[in-house]
Amino acid sequence: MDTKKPITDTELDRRLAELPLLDLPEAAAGRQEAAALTVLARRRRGPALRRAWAFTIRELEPLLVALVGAGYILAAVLRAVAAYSMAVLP
Amino acid sequence: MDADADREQHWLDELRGGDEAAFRLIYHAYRPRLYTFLCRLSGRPDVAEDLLQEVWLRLAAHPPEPRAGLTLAPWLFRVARNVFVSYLRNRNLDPNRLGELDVFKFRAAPGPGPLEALAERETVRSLERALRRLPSADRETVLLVAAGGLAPAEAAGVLGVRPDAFRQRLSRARARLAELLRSQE
Repeated sequence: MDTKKPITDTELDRRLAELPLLDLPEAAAGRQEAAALTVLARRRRGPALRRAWAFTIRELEPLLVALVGAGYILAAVLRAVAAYSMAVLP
Repeated sequence: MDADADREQHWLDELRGGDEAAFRLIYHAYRPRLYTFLCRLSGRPDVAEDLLQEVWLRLAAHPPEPRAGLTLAPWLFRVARNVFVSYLRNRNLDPNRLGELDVFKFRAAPGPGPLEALAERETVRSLERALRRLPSADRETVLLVAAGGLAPAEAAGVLGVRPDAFRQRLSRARARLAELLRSQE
């Protein structure tokens, strides 16, 4: 015959409440936090492609401006030469 | 919405903007509960540590988008559960047979591990044993409420079931746990 008393809901609640909270060792907790903060910082800076594009624009902006300006001037000169050629040459 | 929920919403808003202080507050508020949940769910502190790292990386990389009814605790526990399920799937492990496969034996550590150090009292040891012998679905059901501190409605959201279905599941799981405890005494 089974003489063991059933465990009541109250008793089960009491035992579950006694289950202690566990925690990571301090060193592991620090490592985890640092790794996650690195990911967070990367997300704050934005995706790699966007950062690369921003860097390119920032660094190459003077060169691009110079190239566009030079191209504009060159086109104007060529247009003038062409116009002169058509006017002067037989 | 109560003060705690307001405060957590504020943390989440700040975290979405990349605020480190908000991440730290969430990390320190939830680390023990999540670690306890994963430790008891997996039965292995080393696995729980790896899975917990994954939870924090996901939170840092993709914090939950704002939406009505979103609360932090169920979101974190859902991620924790999902990484555990992925871990089992990647290793072709049946969660209900982990005990038979001895996966639940704790790895010997040089010093007392967190589980060993805390499981000194016989009632706690007995409960730890009974939890390990519970079927996986029952174990996570009990742990979400007991270790996670979630309300049944929140825990139902974590498992993707209706609250009334969760209450039934919890009731069955508790009955099985009580029976296992009785059989051990």
